[in-house]
Amino acid sequence: MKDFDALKNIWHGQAALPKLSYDDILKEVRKSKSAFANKLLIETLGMAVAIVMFTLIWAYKPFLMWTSHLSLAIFILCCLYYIFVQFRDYRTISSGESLFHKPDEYIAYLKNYRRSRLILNTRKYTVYSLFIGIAFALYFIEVYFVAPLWQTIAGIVFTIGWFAVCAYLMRIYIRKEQNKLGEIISKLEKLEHQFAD
Amino acid sequence: MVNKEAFFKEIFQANSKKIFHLCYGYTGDDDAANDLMQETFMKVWQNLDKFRNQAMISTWIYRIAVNTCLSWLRVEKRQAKDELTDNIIENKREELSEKNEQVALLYKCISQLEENERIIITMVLDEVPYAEIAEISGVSEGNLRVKIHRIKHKLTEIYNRYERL
Repeated sequence: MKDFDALKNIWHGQAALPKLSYDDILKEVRKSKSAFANKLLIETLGMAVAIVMFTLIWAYKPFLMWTSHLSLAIFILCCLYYIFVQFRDYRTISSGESLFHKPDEYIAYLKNYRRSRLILNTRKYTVYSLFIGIAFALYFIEVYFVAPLWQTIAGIVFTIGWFAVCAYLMRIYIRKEQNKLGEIISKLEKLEHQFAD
Repeated sequence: MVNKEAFFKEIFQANSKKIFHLCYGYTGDDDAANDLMQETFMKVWQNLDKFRNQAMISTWIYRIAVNTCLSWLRVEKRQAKDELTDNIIENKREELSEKNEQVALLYKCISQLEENERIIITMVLDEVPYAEIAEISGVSEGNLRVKIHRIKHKLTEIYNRYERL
């Protein structure tokens, strides 16, 4: 039979030491920082290129119908929204303020963050896709009037096919993400209860 | 930059062992503990400027470590802790001395506790003052004393039960 002091002696006799030095940490900081920044940069650049492209098309191509103008405006707004969401997340994560919160506050922050990701990945993504779909539909109105019929039909069929594939893949992704986030939120709720004073 | 690195080195050397114990106690796994410790100190580095005027740096580092451990659930795709710790004990039995075996058993017993209990007891074992533990865990000191008493009793009971086997 051992008492708590005996356990304390065992604890202090342990040889369990971290395998990392402060140099390893600094190397990792540099590596991960650039990897994350690069990922963000590539995504933002991709969207920026799309915005420039849409703006140039809008400026130099003489569209005949107001629906095409509205379509391009929707495309550009969707791209801007994507960049805004990326940067807002990046700023929240990189500010690091939440790290200093008390555990119960931190758990509440994590829960809210996870909930907002869940809403972003499900509801907001659906609305986002819907707007892209509307933009395409508006654009095809002009295509229908100015291009040969076969081109219009080919364009519509291709767009619908592309949407169907994306919707199928996204449904799988959303289901997985929903399950994962749901599990995390319930674990966080269990933790929140433990840390209540 | 040189100053920042020197400051970081000082902080790391003064706190890494205890932070590692906390992470090890929380996860019950050596590799996961190293990962969490690395993540903790990466966050410390990123927020180093905020530490400069803090009197109790170790409290803030512990706070970051605790929060990092709590968010470990986000990426938890590992085997169940008990199973994992059992495997570690089984696989390494021959190479463990009696003393190390006792340490491994103690970690296994800690992993049976609730998450908040694991965090509190590793700090108690590392002799962190009660006032600091209260500040880190966000529990009032009076309440903490009661909790610690209960956790000590629970841990001792689990350890003795395993030792009798």
